[in-house]
Amino acid sequence: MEDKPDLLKSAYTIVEDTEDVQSVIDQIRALYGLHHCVFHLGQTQIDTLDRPFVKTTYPDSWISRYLLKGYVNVDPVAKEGFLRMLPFEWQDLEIDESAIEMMMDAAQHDVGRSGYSIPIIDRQARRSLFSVTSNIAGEEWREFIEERGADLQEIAHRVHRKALAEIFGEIDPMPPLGPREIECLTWTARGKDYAVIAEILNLSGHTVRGYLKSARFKLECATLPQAVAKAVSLKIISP
Amino acid sequence: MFFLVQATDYHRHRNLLDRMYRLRKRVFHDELEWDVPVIGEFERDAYDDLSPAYLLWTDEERTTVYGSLRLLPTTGPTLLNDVFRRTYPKDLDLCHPTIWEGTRMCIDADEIAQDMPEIDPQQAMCMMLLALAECGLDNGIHTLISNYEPHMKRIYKRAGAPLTEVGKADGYGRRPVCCGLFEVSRRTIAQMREKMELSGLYVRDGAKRPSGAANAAWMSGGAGDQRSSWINAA
Repeated sequence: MEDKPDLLKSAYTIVEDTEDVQSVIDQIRALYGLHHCVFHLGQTQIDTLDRPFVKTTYPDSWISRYLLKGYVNVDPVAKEGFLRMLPFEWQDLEIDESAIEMMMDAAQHDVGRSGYSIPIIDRQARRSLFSVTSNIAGEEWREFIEERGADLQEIAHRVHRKALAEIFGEIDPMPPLGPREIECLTWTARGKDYAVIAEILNLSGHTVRGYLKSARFKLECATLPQAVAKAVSLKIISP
Repeated sequence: MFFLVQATDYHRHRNLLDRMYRLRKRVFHDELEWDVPVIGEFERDAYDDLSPAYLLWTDEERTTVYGSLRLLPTTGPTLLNDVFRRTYPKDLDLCHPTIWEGTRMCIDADEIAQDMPEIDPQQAMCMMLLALAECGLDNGIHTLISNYEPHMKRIYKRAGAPLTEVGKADGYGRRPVCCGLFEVSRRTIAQMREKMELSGLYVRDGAKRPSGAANAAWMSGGAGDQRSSWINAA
């Protein structure tokens, strides 16, 4: 949310300043106090990779176990994650018999008591999956997801772009800002808040927030002041 | 009941999805005369190939479709950005993981009249909106961007759903097609529930629920129960 950007700001800095996806997720894990993080880029028709691009903080013992036992073919997270579009908690997954052995094995390897996965789709319809696990559960976990879910979704997209850049060197630009987004940013640069901008532009406050959130995301910034500064330096707005 | 069908559940609800495509053809192609692709009895376009989540309204047995809507995140390819580009260049091109587009919202007025005569078509649309908002909140969606015919504004109002119109395009159907933003939050849902005197329409495990099982029986056990009470407390 726009109100508590502290961790998100650090997360964006991590993505920006860190060389590779592996160290990004290592640091995101520490930043949010997660048990583990996994990023998995999906295969698409436009980009075919020699081998799957998966970065994880899981211990080597679990990774080799996972590969050795061919768990990728039964893993419900991977199976459902590339089909679903909305973020989901692992407790909502359907565990069929073929996955039971894997789930018990995962528990023994301390993968985490709770899991949350975020499916990603970009403008080129490329997909990936970002998952986090924790040893907190129940109400506490639900509160964590409610509070940090939106952060994690943005981070998932940042990591997705980082991964594409790491694999292909170059990456397509984010979508350009629309006129309304530019207007809202311009008024923000002049020190107006949501309510005032809404009045000036004859929109609802929530709509202004939506435009600003989208503008900030397209500019790849964690906070509005950063987005304004970036838009000024790119000469998108002149306050 | 109202529930989401994602690509993981398409196979078990093939019949419902086929009914939805037929309903969409009747509503958008035949009645509203929108410029939508039709394949035989189905209305289906390229965005249906992107594994969207569908919000369906069906009977308890999940055999009759009363209404449907398609949900896609604005981080990916979206219909509204493409469709409204002609009239509102880039203005609707929002992009954020918590902003989703809801398109092809429709109801089957005949089926509803037959099975639930007490619900008029406007009320049915209001119920779709409330279920949509509840489903959005449950899934971390903060904003919905939607297209609709001008008269729908009254329905949003009747549902207590705050809508900001941000675009309008001519040439899709007989009437202009508008585009609006609608906030999903505990506050707006409370407002809608109060106005409509309804709540808890959206069933989070609906797609996986055993067919024909009574609502109460299913809800009384397991994690689903906890979650639904959390929503109701929203």
